[in-house]
Amino acid sequence: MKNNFLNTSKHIIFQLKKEYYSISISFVERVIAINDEIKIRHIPNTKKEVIGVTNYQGQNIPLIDLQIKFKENNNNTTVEKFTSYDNNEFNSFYQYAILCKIEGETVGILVNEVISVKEAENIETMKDSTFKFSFFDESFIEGIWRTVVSKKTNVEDTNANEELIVVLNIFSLLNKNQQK
Amino acid sequence: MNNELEKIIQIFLVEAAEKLDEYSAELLVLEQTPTNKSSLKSMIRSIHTIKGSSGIFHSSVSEFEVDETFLLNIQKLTEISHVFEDLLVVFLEKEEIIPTPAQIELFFKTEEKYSTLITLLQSFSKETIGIDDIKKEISNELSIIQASSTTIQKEKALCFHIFLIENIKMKFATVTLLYKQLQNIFGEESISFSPTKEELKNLTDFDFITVHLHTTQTKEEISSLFKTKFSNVKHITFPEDSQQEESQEQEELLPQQETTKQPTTLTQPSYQTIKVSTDKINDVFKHVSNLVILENSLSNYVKEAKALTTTPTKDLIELSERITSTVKNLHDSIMKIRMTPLEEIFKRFPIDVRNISKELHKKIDLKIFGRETEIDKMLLDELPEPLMHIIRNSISHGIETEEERILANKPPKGTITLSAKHEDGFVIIEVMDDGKGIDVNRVVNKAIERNIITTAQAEKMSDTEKINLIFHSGLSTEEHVNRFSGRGVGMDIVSAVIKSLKGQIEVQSEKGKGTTSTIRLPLTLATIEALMTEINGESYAFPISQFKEVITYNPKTDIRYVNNQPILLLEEQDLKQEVTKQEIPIFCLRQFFNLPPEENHIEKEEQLAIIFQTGHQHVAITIDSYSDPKTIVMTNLGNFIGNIPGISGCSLQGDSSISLIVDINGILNHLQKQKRH
Repeated sequence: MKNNFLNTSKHIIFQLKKEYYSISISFVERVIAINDEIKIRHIPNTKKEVIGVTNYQGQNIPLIDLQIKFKENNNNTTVEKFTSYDNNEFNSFYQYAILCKIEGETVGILVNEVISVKEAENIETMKDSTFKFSFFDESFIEGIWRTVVSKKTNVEDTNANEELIVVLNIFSLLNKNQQK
Repeated sequence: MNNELEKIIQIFLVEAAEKLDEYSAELLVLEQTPTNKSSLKSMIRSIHTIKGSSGIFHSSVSEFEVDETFLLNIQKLTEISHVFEDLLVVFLEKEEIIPTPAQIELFFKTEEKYSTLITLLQSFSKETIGIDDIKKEISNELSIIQASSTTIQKEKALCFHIFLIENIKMKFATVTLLYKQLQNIFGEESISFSPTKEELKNLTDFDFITVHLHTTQTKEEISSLFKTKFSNVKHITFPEDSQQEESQEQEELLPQQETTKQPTTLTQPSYQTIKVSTDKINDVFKHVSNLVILENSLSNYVKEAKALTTTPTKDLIELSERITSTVKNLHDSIMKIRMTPLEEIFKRFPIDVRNISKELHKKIDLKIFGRETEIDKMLLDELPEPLMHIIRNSISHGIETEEERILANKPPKGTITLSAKHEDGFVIIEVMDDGKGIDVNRVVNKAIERNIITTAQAEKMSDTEKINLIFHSGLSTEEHVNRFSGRGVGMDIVSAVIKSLKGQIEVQSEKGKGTTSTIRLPLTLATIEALMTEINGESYAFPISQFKEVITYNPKTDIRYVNNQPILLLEEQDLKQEVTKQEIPIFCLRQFFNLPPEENHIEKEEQLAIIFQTGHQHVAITIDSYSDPKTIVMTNLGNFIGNIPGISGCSLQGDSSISLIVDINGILNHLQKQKRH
């Protein structure tokens, strides 16, 4: 059941800092642009990855930074964290939020760029992956795939490179024992 | 699970539980007054409905793929209802048969079977219970009654109307006298009138008097009695023969309808109501909440425009004010819809108390006050379990056995009082028993034994603190675990539920006299009056219910430290120039919420703080600035974020930013814990 979404082929590909991720579009409710109208409220004493809460159309939605979540256990890497409580700075730190519905809860994943929606092919699941390194925490990652990433639509993009895309295990976001 | 199926199951179970509640309530009345045929009638109607709907339910559910046990349990409901209805109907048809205590006990036993079956269905349990015993018992009873009823001459319930002669002088005095005479003849107990003696005082006129009477005399005998003895009576009529059958027939057709035919039946006042699912009301509420926020921004905008040179037209100001008041009314109305009287959950308690006390062989009188007290439906739904648990504890641990009570010079019957009232914007629910009270030393010894506290800690604790140790998980003083309580889990869960509803629970107990549990709950979790403040440039809202005052102090001179805890020394002059001195612990939210300290906090000579009070406890919370209190709509932060100590929720502001609502009780609890460890 859990692995089904690997095969539901359409994925939304997005970029956070230097890294590319994808999730099945079946979880995605919508993508919103972070602009002046999206106000973020910092929440004290909550999970590290929760940058804050915003009210979108009457609903309180936690906004999370994936890289903080994934690397919180890894002391070797430091993640640049948004700490200011100023809304303007928030706008320049993240550009979009992908609102996902997981088990009835809506969570906003903060990203820098939403690349495209694409048929995901040849996903190498973590079971048979050759990647077995410490930086690769399997509990957050379902698999990995390679594809040409083009930020331009309808135009032949000469700068398009093949990138490594991490397929998120979206249920790991809800993992309640990760709580601080 | 299939959506449609879920819906069908929901509808059936809600209805069945409701009907069973009605049945039990009437059964309790019948137990007190076995001659009360109207209660019996209502009971039959409830059982009839369960019989009918369980039959339909069975056939519609079997179209889906459901567990076999589930179907079996439904079928059992129908089966019991079949025989049971037959039995009940006999009591109604033969009016001279009055149910005996043993038979009423059987009615209660059947209720328990229903209750168990419905609970099993609710949890989709794979278990089932045997019903052959109860079915056999019912049909035995039925055949015994049918065999014997024809031979025994018993008291009959009679109903007739008395018409007085026209143009009678001093009508009311005559009637009062008439009542007295009739009472002398038949005995005060077995006769009742409508209008009653009390009602007569408020009436201007009436056409006839309705009399209910239990007697061995026949109608003819009574008719002749009136003809010979009472000269003021023109004639009497017996309306029952013709109407009874008619009304019964109609009820067969319309089992849902309330009987309003007989003017003397003591049915509860029926309100005109429609059933609406809570989801729909929540939906409306959500929109109204948004409207409140929009209205806030509109009036802000008009205020700003007024301040600037762009003077808004008078019309706009007026319009804005009208919108403000309309939105307020709308909001109040929707809040009223959500407010539900506690009766809805209280009505279930008498039967539970009866069953538990029977099982434990204790005699208990349950008194209920303040049923009409209203509370938000969302809170109400969470209350039955914790309340029932407290009551159960009172019955099994609190109230002594009859012999013990007599030895202690107490009335043999124990009393449990359940009361509810409104106080300062809170709902107070109290469960009071006159039992043996909590043995404080035993609680403390147990707590030390189980390493919950140390002996040294115990010595420092006040009696109230000691008693409230019972809320600690893993502490139950009852040595003999019985079916109803004493498993050591429970009171901690009760306390957790109450806390999650932003309420408080406190237990007071006096050895030998009894125990009182007091629950304090907010009227609603949806809107609150709050003082808006700013800390570190962010908005925090403080519920006004426990607010005392805003003060300014000098951090350099007014603070002392006790055990690392800053304490504020307060000296206040009241209007009579009297000085009161107070010491109040200071709570720094910046520290608690891990916010950076204020830039100039070392040199600062003026600090704002709000003082809050719960009971006798005070706490001062430092803030940066504050503005006027306002009504805010409270929402939660969602499951993803979960519970954060010190924060009870959040509220959307007019400018679409979010304000966090500070949980004062949570902070006080935190301070108390610090003290203990």
